[in-house]
Amino acid sequence: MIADAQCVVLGAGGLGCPALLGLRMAGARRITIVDHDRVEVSNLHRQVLYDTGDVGAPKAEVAARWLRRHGVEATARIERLVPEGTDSMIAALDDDAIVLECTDAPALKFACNDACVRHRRTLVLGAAIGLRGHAIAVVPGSACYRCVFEAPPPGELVPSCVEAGVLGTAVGTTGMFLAHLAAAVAEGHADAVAGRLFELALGSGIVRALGGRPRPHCSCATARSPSHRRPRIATVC
Amino acid sequence: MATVRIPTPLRKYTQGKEEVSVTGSSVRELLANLESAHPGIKERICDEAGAVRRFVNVYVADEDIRFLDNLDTAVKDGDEVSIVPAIAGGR
Repeated sequence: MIADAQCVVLGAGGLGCPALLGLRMAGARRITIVDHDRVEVSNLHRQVLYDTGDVGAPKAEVAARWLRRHGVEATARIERLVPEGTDSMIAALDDDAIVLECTDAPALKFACNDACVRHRRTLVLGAAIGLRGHAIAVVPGSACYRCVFEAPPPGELVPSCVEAGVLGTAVGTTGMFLAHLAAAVAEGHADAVAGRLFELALGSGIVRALGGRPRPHCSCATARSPSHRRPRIATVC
Repeated sequence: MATVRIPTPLRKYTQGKEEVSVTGSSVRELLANLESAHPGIKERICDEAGAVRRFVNVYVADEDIRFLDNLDTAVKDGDEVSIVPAIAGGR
């Protein structure tokens, strides 16, 4: 159940804000938000948890305050996310944590994927640019983001939203879709959605579910093997 | 003839078209014909050795060609071929 899970949203920007709205709609009750950015005027039209009075304040703090006003147990972590720090951060989460990767940094997406696979945490990851979005849910045993894309693209070949533009509703739809995937996994639909790359072709209004099989030589193959699985300790009353 | 879906960053090679029709009985042949019709596009999809770049996926009928026969994957008349590069926006 999404209400029982610890949801951790990395990035509270264009993807993170609608993802947080979606998690609240889905019934999430415990949410941690990690972001070091501060609210800017240029964010306001698409990062809808913030208003003009929040300009200059840390996004994580403002978003957490908004969630608490709506009955969610929300925690803000004002931290700069770097690939090197993801492994220890993911390892420290509850076993049933659901991580929503909502940043715009390719290297961070791959680092989060690798850490979630290694520590057997559920991950939902997304990106959006122009009129297009990508979303994938990764659970223990499913195909991972690296099964789909083997490596991050070189920086010069990845246009940012600033360079290529993004329609607010495109990033909003993608962020909301990430929350929906998290809820679908938490509510027992992982078999149907996990490991597939959802391509949201929002110019034509089409959502395609692509692939879905683990790549045999992917670095996640070791984590998928039964011998790697951490034993669960049963609680006996 | 197959329908090839072109991602936004590569549409500058297809005069802005989101889809183009290309002949070819395999992905390899289809990419060669795509390059003939739209010069410059193939090097954005394949590396110097001719392999599909690690951050680009090619799907035939929604199946990743790496799980089929890679560049030798058969393409039939009417198939939809999607070229899907990794993207990274979200601010």
